[in-house]
Amino acid sequence: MNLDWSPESEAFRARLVAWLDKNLIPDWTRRYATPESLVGFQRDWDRRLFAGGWAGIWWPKEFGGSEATLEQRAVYAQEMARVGAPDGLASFGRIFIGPGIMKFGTPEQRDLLPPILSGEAVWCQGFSEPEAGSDLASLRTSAVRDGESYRINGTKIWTTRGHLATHCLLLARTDPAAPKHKGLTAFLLKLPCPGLTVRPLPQINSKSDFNQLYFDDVRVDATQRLGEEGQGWEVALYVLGHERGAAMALRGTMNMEQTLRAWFAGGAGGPPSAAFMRSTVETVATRLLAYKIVSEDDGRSKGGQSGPVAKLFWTEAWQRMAEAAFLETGVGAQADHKAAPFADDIASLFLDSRRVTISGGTAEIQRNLIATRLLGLPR
Amino acid sequence: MDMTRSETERTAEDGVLRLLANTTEVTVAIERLADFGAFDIDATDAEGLALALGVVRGVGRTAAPIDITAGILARVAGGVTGLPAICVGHALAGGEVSVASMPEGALTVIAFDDSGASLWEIGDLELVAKGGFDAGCEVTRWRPRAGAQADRLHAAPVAMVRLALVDAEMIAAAEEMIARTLDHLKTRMQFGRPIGTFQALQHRIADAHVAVQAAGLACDYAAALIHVDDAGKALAWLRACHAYSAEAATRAAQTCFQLHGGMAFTAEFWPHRWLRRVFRLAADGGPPERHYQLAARYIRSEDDLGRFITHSGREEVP
Repeated sequence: MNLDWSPESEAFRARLVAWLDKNLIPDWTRRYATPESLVGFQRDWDRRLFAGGWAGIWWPKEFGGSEATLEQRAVYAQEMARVGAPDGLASFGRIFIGPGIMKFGTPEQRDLLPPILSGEAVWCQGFSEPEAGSDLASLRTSAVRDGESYRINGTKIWTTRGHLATHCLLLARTDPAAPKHKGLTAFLLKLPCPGLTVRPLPQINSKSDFNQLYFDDVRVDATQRLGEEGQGWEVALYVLGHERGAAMALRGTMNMEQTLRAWFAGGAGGPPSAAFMRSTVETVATRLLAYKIVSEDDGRSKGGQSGPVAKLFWTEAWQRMAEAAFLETGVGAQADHKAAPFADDIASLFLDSRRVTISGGTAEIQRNLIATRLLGLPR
Repeated sequence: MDMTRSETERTAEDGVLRLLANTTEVTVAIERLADFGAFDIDATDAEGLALALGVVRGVGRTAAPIDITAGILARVAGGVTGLPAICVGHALAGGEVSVASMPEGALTVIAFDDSGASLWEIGDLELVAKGGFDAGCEVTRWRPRAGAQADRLHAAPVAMVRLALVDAEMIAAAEEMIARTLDHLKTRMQFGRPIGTFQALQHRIADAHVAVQAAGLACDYAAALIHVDDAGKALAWLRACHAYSAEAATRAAQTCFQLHGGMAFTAEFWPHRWLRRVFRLAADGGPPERHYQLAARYIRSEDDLGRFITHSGREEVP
């Protein structure tokens, strides 16, 4: 077992750490406490990432990236999480939508890429619906061809940063008669647009990133279609399918370390409990699972099959940890609770941890994937 | 970065699997393992430990009726103490001592307790009970004779190797149970379809797989610390890891047993042999809570916590 990163990755890490030292304010979550100031800070962070050459490092060089390996992307995630760096408002564009435009977009649509990288464009994803969560392919938002445009009607939910977005990658049904996966088409929308209403959804972790979008006869030009009609599912799978298991698991270890430290600090003194020690093992096991994904990379940055294993493991491990920490620290955890975004008290971490087994593919879906794709059980 | 086990360990495991395939005869199995050199392993250095881990994993995969760990540990204990004919056991409540698979002619016993280890002469101990739950492993209970005293000794190296070997065999046994259960889920038909199509069963086996995978990686990491990191951290890690892997392996074993239905309860069918193996190893040295408590002694400050949950990052662990 060799847990050392390659010399190239360590050099990459050193450059990133040096840049972060100069560019990230350590206590930004306290300095920018209001929603408006937080938005301004995150916009500035997107610009700094771009100016420093750290935006979209995994993008092909022809589109402004540096083609970082899976190992380097894991290092990037690890260091960003270690210092608690913000995501920036443009992260969805950099991670998901940009690669989708590169693969399926027309030359004209690829003009949308530079503003993603620079942070000027903030993208959101219009995928999930109230009646289409895990069963995304059953979505109902319709796109009806009408001359040289489409009319969009329906609603999307859990749209991260929909209230701040300048653009939206939308998945809609263009052929209700086709089998459900085949009747979908993807569109690139510029926001705001007539007929669209955005309603923020306040969250239990005191943040308000999610939104519900209502489309009432929204017009989209046919040139804004991404890929062909009926190719929407392929676009969605591509956009969502980038291997992020290692990066997310390494971020997860930072959440877990943060929770462990808060738990230790909030303890009554004396040796840690069995539950605490169990959580220490799970924190390290999460890191080892992330390393396993990196070490299984065949050079195509697909990360092997360990992604669902890592996601299921760390998300539930963090929840168990936060639950145990809350129960053990009891009244103390409640008295210390700050109902504020990015609060790092135990009660806040407990609430924040609720989402990780739901977003990005529920724990139940991960179990299905593990059982059928990894363990080979029949459907 | 490489998360695979060493070639020594993998080769040993594969070799033992081949040796033990197609035999249920204990004497044949023992002869083959003896020819392989399994009873002569010196597990005090990294290469020897890797070989030992591979061998016990092979034995775990087959649930062979042999307590190979006892033999390897006896050799390690002999090396540490310089004493011949020594074996390894545990101190029990009330002053008694338990020994698993005591070899014939054993003269001394190292009995581990919460604060270290005691060295007993066999002549100072009186046999109280003898029995077996897991084939190949006879457990004896001993009471010190009136007036008998033990010497205290530093035997942490033996304790660490023991934990690493026990966990390697236990995880291997759990992995084998899962692999066999997957075959069963694909072929057993009920309600007109393979039972592996039922989501409830898919989720249970997925949980078992994930838990054992994570525990297995943690055990590999813990074993690797024996020769490269500070002894205090290594022992604490091995204890915490034993507790954790005992929890994961026993839950997985229960799941695999359950998913075989009524047939699992028959003595002729395989699940109970692996179930016994997993639980016997999980119970080694006490319940998980006890091992967590012993491990927790390492963490007295936030700095200790930081050292415990981070890798030193510079050594290549074998």
